[in-house]
Amino acid sequence: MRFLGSRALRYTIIAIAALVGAVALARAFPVKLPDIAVAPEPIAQVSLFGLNYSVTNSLLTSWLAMLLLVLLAIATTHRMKPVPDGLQNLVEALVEAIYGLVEDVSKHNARKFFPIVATIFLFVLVSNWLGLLPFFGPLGIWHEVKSHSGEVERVLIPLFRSPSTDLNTTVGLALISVTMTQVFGVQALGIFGYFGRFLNLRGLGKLIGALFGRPPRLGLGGLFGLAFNAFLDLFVGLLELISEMAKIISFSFRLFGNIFAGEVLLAVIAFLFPFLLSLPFLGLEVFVGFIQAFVFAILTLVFMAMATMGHGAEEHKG
Amino acid sequence: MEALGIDPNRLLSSVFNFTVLLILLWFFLYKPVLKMLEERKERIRQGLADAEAARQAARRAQEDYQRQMEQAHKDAQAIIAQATQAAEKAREEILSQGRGEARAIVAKAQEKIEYERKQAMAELRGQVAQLAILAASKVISRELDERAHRQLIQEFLAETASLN
Repeated sequence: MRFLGSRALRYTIIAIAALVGAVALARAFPVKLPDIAVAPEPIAQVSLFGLNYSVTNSLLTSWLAMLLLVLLAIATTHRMKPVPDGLQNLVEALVEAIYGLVEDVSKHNARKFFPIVATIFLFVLVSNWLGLLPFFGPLGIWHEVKSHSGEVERVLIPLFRSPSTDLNTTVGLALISVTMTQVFGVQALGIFGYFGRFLNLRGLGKLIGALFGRPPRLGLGGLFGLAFNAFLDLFVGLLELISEMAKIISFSFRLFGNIFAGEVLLAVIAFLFPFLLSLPFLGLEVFVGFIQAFVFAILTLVFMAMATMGHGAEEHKG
Repeated sequence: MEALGIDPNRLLSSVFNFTVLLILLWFFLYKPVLKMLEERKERIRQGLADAEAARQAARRAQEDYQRQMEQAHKDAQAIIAQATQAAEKAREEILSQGRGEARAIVAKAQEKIEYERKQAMAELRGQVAQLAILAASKVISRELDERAHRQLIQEFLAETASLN
């Protein structure tokens, strides 16, 4: 008991000392709340083929993420061994895990879906985690900007910014995901088979058949029912179309929102408790970064699988 | 859109970048790794099949060996049984032959003994007759002539012979 008591006491003293130290450090080195901008900031202007192109900090980080991934890939695969070790082991396990997941969802389209799903996952994951690196916020270029009141303010434009906190990246990824979903859907079901989902004329066809067809003619009630079904089919098709559009928005804003909010949270926490206390939040953001990458990839996979499956159940009913 | 920082050019660049990344990763990561995984899977399958074949072969060899051992054992048993039988037969033969010879020898000896006894008896009979005649002639030479004597003795001898 004496020993336990002394150990508890020791830990308490360490905790209090750490808190006091953190507060003292925060007093000594106060952290400014950074300017939070939804839009990425341009850091350079590039003229390419007569086109002026502004390189934003998030674009630069995109290139960094791509570079990292490609370097990792080359480092792993330039000399592969039948008996893997070290890096090769890790990368193989990762690729196999993603491939296994794709295969679980869609057995015979796995080869087709896998590159897109895996690339989305890896790119988003690296983007999210890059944003957590310590030099991402503070490393930048000072600019003088006129504020609304007309005063000249010095603003730090960060050199790097996680691509996931730039809507251009997330909307781009969402567009790719949704577009490829349509492409695979058409590949699997044919143009009419796939787009029939959005413009469902089967009910209308039945109604016209009943109106102008040979006997047995239907009564007024039957005709009304058919008309209602035709309207319902068209309406459901419209809903499908809207949900397809909504996917783009939900994909892009989910990723953007989570990661952007995470970085704002980290900035605020760093402003309030610069030392020690932001650690748990950093861990949380590592987790959120993984989860968001996983969610983006897995939703892409599921939507693709659904698009290629057609709607057999409805056809059985009809 | 402006406030959110969405810019068509930038959007295009992110789509383009993603496509480039996908192609690069396809060639440098997915293709080689998936190929390696597939090859390894194939190799393991092959290895397992080989091991299974080797196990089968070993079992067959074991069975062959077992069968041959059993056969050899059986053969040896048969040979021993045959040899035992032959030896037994030979012993029987030798024994019966020996017995036969012994019997023959005994019979011959008996025959010889009988013959000699008969001879001795005949000789003895002759001598006894002569002696008797001699003795008798000496005792009763005056009452009987020689012919009557001989007759008497012959009778006597015949009696003794019949006794024998």
